[in-house]
Amino acid sequence: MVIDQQRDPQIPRSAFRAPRLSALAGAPEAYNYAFLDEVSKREIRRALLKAVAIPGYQVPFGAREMPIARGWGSGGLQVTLATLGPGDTLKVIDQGTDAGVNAVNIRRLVERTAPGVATTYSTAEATIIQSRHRFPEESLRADQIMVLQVPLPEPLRMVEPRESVTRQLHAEADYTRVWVHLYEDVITNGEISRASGYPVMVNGRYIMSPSPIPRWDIDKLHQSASLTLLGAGREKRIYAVPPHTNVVPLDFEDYPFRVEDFSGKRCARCGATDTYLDEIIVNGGGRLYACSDTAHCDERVSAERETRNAE
Amino acid sequence: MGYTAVKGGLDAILAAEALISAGDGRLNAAQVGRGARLLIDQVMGEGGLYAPELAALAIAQAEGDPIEAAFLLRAYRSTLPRIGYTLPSDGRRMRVLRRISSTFKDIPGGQVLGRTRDYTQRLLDVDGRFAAKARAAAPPATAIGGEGWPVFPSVVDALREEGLVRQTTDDPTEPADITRDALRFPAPRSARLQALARGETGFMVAIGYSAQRGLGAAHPTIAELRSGELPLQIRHPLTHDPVVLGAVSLVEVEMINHTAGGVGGATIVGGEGESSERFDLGYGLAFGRNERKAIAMSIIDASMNIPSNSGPAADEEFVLSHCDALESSGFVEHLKLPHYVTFQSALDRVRFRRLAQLSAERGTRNAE
Amino acid sequence: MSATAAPSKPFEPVADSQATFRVVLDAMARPGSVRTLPATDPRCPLPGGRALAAVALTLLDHEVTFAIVPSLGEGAEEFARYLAATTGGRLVGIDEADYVFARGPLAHGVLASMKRGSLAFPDEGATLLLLVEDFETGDGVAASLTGPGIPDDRTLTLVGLSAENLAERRAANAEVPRGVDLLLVDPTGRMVCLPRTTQIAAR
Repeated sequence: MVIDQQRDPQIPRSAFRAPRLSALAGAPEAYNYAFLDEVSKREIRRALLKAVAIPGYQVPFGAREMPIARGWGSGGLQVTLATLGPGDTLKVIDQGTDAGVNAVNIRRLVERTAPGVATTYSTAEATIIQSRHRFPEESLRADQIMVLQVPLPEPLRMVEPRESVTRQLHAEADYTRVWVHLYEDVITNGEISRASGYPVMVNGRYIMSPSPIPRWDIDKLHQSASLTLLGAGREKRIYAVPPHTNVVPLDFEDYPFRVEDFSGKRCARCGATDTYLDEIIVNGGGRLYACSDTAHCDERVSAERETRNAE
Repeated sequence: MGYTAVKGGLDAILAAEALISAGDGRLNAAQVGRGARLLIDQVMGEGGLYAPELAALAIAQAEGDPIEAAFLLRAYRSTLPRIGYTLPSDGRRMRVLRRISSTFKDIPGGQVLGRTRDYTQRLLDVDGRFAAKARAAAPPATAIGGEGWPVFPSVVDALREEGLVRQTTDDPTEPADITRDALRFPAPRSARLQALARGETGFMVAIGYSAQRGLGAAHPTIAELRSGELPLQIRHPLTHDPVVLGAVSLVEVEMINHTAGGVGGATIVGGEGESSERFDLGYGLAFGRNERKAIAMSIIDASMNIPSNSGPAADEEFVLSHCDALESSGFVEHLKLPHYVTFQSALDRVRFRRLAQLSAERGTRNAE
Repeated sequence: MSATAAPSKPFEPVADSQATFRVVLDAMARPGSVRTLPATDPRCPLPGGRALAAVALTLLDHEVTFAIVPSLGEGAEEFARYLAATTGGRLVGIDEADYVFARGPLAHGVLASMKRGSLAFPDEGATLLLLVEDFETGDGVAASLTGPGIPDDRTLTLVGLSAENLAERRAANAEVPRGVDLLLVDPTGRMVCLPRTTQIAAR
């Protein structure tokens, strides 16, 4: 039925023999230092420098496929892998703890692919700290870099679903709709109801999502001694807050920003009353509180033990 | 108090890995390669890598989860060096194994039904009897002889010659690459087609279906669906002559779309001195035999090509931002990660408001 | 460590890129602070430009464009060829380039013609890599810096930028957030960054 068709003599029949792809691919070569290839690292590095030069502005980048799922810290991981090198000491935390499964997984990947990088639980020892949802309790130093994993980088998404529009609003610093939204929130709920990932104004220019850190941690971004880098892999955005930069939570004079209230509560382990606490439901329905920053808590416990032993 | 910080993360992860590898009786890659060809096609498409053997391996390793398999394929792909780019290929050069058109009863070159399940009766073949009967009843196959392969003219070309199809402008610039540059909106058509070609089959079908149900102005008819093998060429690094590398198995769909003026919110504006009455075209392409996805893709592309169209399928930013299987499943499943820090923050807000409410109510009662 | 200490050590693409990037990142995050680059490329044909070349190899590849300002002087053409060959970057005009290489102080009009990005995509503004005289011995403008990355204010003798250059830079960065970002590198490998947000006042 199709035999009388014209022919294409240019294409040899051999073209249709199934190629043996496994033979072509061969054994996978050893991974490059820090997993990412150099072209990818360069692109991330260029994006990071522009991000630092324009505080709070989201630089688009071509996020690569990582061996961890998108939405599980692939953005922060790409930033970390493009930044670290031999001699660095890396701390990875999730929800404040080094032992969280996601933190362990990311740390393990770095250990596997970046020889010469030490890992630590200690905040003071770390040169780079990658985190999901928290800052360490203790203030960071100028020689430390904070890397935050970001699920949703766009703070204007709450008022506008479209990227093409939010980009324009940022371009013109047209934040009227955000303020109206916050005002309506106060009218309806009696306060600005945003819990974590609270929107902030960076350097008086860009409204920025600080990643889903609690309000407790917002102040750690303001006029910090250290550099903070934020990476969103799935959304393909990189942004930054340089040290000594103004980071101000959005609020109203008569409805001021307030952090989570732990008054009257203390860590059941180290006794701290000045830390962000995890609430734990115990048998019988009672509540127990413990430091979210477990490394900080551990240090307090062992310091107290030493004092006791010395006595 | 007995609470100590959980330190078991690493042990738990290692134990979970051990449980996975302890599974027995699973398929090997060769079995998948023989028995799950359509799954391989889907995984290659969503993984963005044409590699049937590796896809089979990924499916075996992922215990048949297509998204997990696509993920393995993509993560592997990102470690491979990019050696070169193929030259533009024309679907007309495809070695056709199947080809149908719904727009005309007969078409130059004829309709070729090929290997399809479309007209099988969906009866679960419990004891293999139906398959045996089908084999016995098969008419003798028609062999294609001679040098080279037949070239089929494109159905859409005939409509183009008559001026019935809205001209798409040939874009001479290098196509976009969404794996290298983040998408921007509005996206160039090359970026759109790339994103859709990597899109998740189920999502694409649902969105295409919504356009068919009348959400938007699309009224699609398949001008031509052809599947077969398309040879790919590169330029030889030394001689700069085109060299055939091999062929990939593909299904290509050209979708004709008739939009009555004003239907579904579309306004059709013709160029100067020409009739506004034109068909819009949509294009779909998928690896292997994933016809369902290629058809859905062509409906979505057509929907986006209709000027001033509305509805989910025409919403380019919405579709392209949500069609990737790895992005959507990654974020949906990341909810399995602990979120207790953010939840604590939310608890604080809710308790604060409840307290405020309660004291306000009490205040009102007291005042009464 | 001074960059001239190991002049013959070849630039190692993986390790030296990472180390160089970290120093540039730190310098960009702390405008006006003087940092020392950890690597050089001895193949660089531009006199005094080996440390500058290390920055170029760290940031440039086939995905970006660069331009050479003629004032770069002796070896400029060889430098352009060298950059194109080693990085794969594409040589274009100053008004199109992502990275612009020049010698300071700049001729009138160079800063004004550089890309500043758009309001929506200010990151598309160019980066100027300026080869300047020795930070310790060169003539310069006493300046006081303020802005992100700078606690209170930072004073510095700015080598390689004339008073006119500073005025042109101010004009180029006037429509926030559009602008150009500057990296000043001297022949010994010392470096200062001046991102667009840094306000410079002559003292």
